[in-house]
Amino acid sequence: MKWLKSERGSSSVLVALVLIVLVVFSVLAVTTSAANLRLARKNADTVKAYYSLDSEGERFLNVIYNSIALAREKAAYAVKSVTEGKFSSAGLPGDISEIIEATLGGIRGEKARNEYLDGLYPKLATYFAISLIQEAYPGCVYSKHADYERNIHIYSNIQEDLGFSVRKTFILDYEGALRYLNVDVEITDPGSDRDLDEVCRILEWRLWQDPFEYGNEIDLWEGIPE
Amino acid sequence: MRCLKEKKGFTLIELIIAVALLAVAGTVAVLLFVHAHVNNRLAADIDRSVFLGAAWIERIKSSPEDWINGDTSALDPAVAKSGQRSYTVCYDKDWKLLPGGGSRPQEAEYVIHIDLFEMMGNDGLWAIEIRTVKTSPYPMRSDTGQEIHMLSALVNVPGEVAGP
Repeated sequence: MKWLKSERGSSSVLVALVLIVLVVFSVLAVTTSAANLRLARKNADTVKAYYSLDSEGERFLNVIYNSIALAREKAAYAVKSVTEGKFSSAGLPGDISEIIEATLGGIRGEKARNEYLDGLYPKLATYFAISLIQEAYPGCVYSKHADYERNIHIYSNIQEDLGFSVRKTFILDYEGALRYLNVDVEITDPGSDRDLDEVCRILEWRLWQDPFEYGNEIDLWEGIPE
Repeated sequence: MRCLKEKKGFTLIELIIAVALLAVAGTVAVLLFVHAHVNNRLAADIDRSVFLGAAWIERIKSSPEDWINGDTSALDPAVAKSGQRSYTVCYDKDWKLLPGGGSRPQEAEYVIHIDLFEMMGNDGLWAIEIRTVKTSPYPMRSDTGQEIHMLSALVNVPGEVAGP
């Protein structure tokens, strides 16, 4: 115990301790700041993932808008060809051309003929819009006011509601977790001269993901024990 | 003097080793603290630029025509035009919006570059690109004009779709 009586070297011990504490705290600060940086980058990636999924939805909506614009063009051309009696160059399937030709053959008078052709344009615009959208995104048309593709009698002089709905779910695999975007659009009378954003009504635009639970192996959400 | 001669002291080698160890440990600690500070600053800047980037994207999406047509009178006064469809927004070191937009770029610590591009082959579909740049380097780093974050999104402008 003799050595305790001397205070020689105590200041060195103090300085060494202070330095050790300083180094330990600096290492802790670096660790924490690295975790902060990782978290910030992860948050940035999450926002990027959100916008890439959102952009897919915008791309889908753009296909709908362009399909409707092109459908109007094709329908106008088809009606013009039909008016001139050029049924084969109207760009329509054979059975639809036939029923239009037959219906026109049975109509007497210029006024009735023009009325029929006026009514035919929106029907053809709807038909072309459905075909073009289906071509780009098969199976996305889930509801139609009438079967424009199979029921050819629609193109005779009967009245039909014009419109259909499209729905698509986009899935993004982001770091092992699936993220979804549901897009549901209702299209009414695509042949009308209203603006495209008025013709298309967005019913749903929802981004979501499965409920997160760390290391979940049993279905706790349903409360079913193993 | 006799008393001093009897007391044992440190040798020069001992002193040199002790001072060197202290200097190394002290330097390492200081460097680590600076590194931690830079990391924290960068993390805060990334968070802020992500938040502001998303805010500007939503703003553009709410009225894309104004941004595409380049009508600055319809935009926020802080937005400055830097190209046909390119804009800049300047912020000070505390991320406060600098009034007058890009008219005082020398005061800006952060600059958000906004660019709009038309997507080829998709009528009415526009890409928005937001890049956040820090004008001055972080402590102990030499890279000026460092890009902190980049965010992009698509937006539809139905009026741009060609009609029949």
